[in-house]
Amino acid sequence: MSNRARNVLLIARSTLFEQANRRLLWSLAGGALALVIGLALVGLIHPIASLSTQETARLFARSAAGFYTLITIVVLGMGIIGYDLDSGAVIMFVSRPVSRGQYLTGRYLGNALTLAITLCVMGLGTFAVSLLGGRADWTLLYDFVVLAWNAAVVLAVMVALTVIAGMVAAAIIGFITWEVVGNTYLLSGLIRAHEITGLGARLLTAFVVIAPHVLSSPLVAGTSTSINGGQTVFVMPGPTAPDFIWSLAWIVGALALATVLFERRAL
Amino acid sequence: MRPPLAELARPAKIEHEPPVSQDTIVEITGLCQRFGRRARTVTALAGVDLTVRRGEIFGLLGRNGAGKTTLVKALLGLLRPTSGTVRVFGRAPGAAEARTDIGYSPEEPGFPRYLYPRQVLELCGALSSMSGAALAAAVERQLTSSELQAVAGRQARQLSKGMAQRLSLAQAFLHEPQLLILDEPTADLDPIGRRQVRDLIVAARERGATVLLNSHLLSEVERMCDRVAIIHGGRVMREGAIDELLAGDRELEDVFIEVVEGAGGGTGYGPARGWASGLPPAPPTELPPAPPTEHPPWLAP
Repeated sequence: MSNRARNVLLIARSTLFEQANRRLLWSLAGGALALVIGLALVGLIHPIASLSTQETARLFARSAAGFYTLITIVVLGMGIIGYDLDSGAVIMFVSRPVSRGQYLTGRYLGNALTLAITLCVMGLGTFAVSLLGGRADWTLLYDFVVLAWNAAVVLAVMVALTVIAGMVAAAIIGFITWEVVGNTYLLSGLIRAHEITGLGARLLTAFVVIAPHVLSSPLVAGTSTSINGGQTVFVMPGPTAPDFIWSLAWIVGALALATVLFERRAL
Repeated sequence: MRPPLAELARPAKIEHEPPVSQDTIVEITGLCQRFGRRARTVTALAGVDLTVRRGEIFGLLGRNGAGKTTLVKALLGLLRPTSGTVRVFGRAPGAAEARTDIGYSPEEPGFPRYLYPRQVLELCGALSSMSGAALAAAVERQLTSSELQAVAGRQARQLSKGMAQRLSLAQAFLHEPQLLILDEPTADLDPIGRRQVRDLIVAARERGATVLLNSHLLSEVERMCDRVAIIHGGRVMREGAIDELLAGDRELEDVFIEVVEGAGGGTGYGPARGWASGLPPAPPTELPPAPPTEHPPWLAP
């Protein structure tokens, strides 16, 4: 293994140790499990009339997962390097034979791993609940993979934001990114309802077309928005295979941008 | 016969062998470092030329804000110099590989807050290419010699200032680097801790390491250093072997004050007087008498 890869993995591992030492990892995982199972059980006990019991449980569990993932991203994302910059711990890393890019990537990977563990716990919990409904719902597992992939993109964007703008701004913009992109399908309705034209409309339309391919949220896949008496104007697509490649490009791009900006920063 | 009082007052110099060789480890030429933009520009270093040779203990002296820490950060590639060149082991310090053989203990040490001292040392050692039994032995040695075993159960954020300083020094010495850069290494330590650090520094030189010591404690510098540079206002005002600077039974403190006051006192960015400069406070400036105030008619006495 090259020294670069070794450094990245060492920093990622220590980040994971840190999250375990501060009990954040266990709190996130435990909280996630409690929330998902709790809501899913509520769905089982009080099914929505138009849905089957299993569908209700699944809907509730996925909603909880989306909400909790957002919280996890904000909590983890804002502190990825923010605390190190505040305390001076970053100097301990970069005064050694470690490049700033390796440091950022290692910290990112460590936090992404924490997020992955949290989502695994949520995914398995939801899957277990689906078994209570009488049939194993394998699509849930796919949903969680997509959710984790989206979260990884936003986490990378937050790394770049922390370098540029600090912890609080990163948290706010990360939150907005998740919410806006996750609800892009609403925008096309907005454009028509407010009769937005010209450059504004073109930019928004471009965003509407591109955004779902960056974060293809399974939570709203297939969701449509309609105006003027039920005319469907946009359907949020589900993720496709090329979307995963696009997301990877976003992650690499965000980390590369963060590295370039971080290299220029005096410590 | 008892030694004269002046001899007793001066700390005993630690005898040592001459430096192993005269190779240049650190070479700084015309280093300028400015911060801020346009009207807010602050010049921290204004053309520093400096060389540190292999096997010596080099003392960096200067008042607060003189530019010492900026210089140290430039050596570690933590800053991008505005102009000039910095070479450490013949390489630019911005390249990660150039920092392989450097151990750095900053003035205000920071660690990942939730790691335990042992985890911090294991991480630092591994990032410096140590592994396996050698790493485990080095970590154990540093935990024992730095007396960190007593706080092994505390996370870095829970350590006292003194213990954090010890951890900082332990990680700097851990991989037995060829160049040690120590920024105020004894600032938060008790007297026994200070002596231990002095012993560690001297031992490092004996194994051939070079030490760049940034300290306000002149007695410490006088005892340990082979050569000294006095920085003021971002410039090296005087540089030389400690024996030359102290020729004629002078003390380092006298030399330091002479150099700083000769350059105008203060931090170099403006004149300063008072307790910090060693000069008496400037006499109050007599203001010219105020011109008679012309009252408006309705306020006339």
